[in-house]
Amino acid sequence: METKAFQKIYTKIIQITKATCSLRASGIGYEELAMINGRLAQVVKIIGEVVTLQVFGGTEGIPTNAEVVFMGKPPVIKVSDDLAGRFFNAFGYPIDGGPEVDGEEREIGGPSVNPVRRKQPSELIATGIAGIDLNNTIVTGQKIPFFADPDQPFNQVMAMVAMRAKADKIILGGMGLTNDDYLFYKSVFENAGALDRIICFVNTTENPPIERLLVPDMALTAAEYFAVDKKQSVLVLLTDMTLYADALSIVSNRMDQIPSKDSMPGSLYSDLAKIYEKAVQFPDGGSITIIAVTTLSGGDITHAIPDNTGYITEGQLFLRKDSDIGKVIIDPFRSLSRLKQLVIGQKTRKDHPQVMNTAIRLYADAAQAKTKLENGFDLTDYDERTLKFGKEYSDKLLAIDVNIDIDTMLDTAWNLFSKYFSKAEVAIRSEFMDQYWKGE
Amino acid sequence: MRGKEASEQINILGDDGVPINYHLSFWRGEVIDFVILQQDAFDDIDKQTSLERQKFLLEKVLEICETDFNFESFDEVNPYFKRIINNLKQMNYSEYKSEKFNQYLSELTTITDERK
Repeated sequence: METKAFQKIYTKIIQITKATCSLRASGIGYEELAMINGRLAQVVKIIGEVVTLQVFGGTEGIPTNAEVVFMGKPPVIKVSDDLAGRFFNAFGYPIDGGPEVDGEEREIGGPSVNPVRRKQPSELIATGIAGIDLNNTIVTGQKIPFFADPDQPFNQVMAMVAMRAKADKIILGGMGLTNDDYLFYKSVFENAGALDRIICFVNTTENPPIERLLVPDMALTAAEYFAVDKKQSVLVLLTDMTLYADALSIVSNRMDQIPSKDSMPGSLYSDLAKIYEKAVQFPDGGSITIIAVTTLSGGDITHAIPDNTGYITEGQLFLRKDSDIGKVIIDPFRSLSRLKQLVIGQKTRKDHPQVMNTAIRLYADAAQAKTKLENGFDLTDYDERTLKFGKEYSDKLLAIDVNIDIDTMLDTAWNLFSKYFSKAEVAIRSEFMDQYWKGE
Repeated sequence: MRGKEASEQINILGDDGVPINYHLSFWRGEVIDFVILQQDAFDDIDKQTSLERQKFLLEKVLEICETDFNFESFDEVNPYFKRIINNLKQMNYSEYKSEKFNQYLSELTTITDERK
């Protein structure tokens, strides 16, 4: 972004905070971009003639007589098929050494799709992970986050889901990615030979944190281009939304806004909803599915970020380390995909809902038996069997390293049922019992 | 005593630390939970029940809850009630007064008669 001829240059900054600068200027619009001594900034507040700019790189070293030039437009992205296979930074500039993308210029962060133009989601996304496909089936057009502790392999799981999902385009919005994670995604996409389906907008920990505020809007505007104009099914991966919200709080606190719970801005809900509500299923086949990551601090789901996220998204997938089998599993008790009911038993085998419920009920019995064991009580024969079942269920179905199709998941569950339980203990509708029960 | 209170006592004192009566109370509660309160909204038959059918099943369940079954030891209670629950659930999944429904009903009577 270079300065053009006949642009007004302001040279009198009247106030500087750590992330913002204010100056007197006229004819300026909200969200307009500006350059301050070569650094990108964005208009965040206008009161009369006083314009407040949020400086992405921070204001360190900016003098009061810095040259300020307004670009006359909000952040834009140029959309075309050439986006495929490219890596960009938060401003949409290529970081892969390739040329700039030519195409139609679109403002980022527009409104989400009108509900009357939407279709009820009904196409399931098979991930091969039974904790998702069997217990919490996700569908195209859904918005769902992973809730995970920062030390859990959520990026690995998400990359796995992305590679297995049959999406036309996969758009990665990386916010505060470590360089390792960035290279991990890059190598996964390259090794899978899927680069032509991938578009990445990446803000790493080396970039200024405020820049990451642009990443989701960039990713979703690109997604809208492919979903609306090209009628493609687009999968958007956003990692990590907690770091995005942290950047929001930095900006709002620096702007003297009164912080809300957990020092988050009062607009946190709207800020997050503006992003997640872009998930959509169009009647003509195009769709945007959003899979995000919300990292938790110490598993605390009452924190403002996961709490607000939970009200917006259609469920959550909860990662937990199962110490019994030493693997990370998708916790069936705390995970939920609200849209699974639209596909299970309809797009999948008829016994799916009952098998899913029964397995989780028996797993709950196993959890209870475990407490009993830990409290030093004698276990009954039934307790012993549920414990063994729980362990095997966790290993063969809940673990994230599982990769089988849904029918195999159901057969695996049936095998476990008949291995450890009697028919009366399983108590599934007799029609399915007769058909699938593996015992005598 | 309510089923929930019984279950709390069993958890605190252990299976063998409470009278068999506590286990009975707990499992009576479980029968009501599994058969009446948990309705399968994804099952064509169980998702909607006529008033007549509801009355019939509720009375059946209450009858079971009011029966004094005899048990020698606590570990007989769980499997026995699992059978009752399974049978009642299969009734929930069968058309009211159909051949299957009546078959499960007579099986249920056989089970309940075992320990009266």
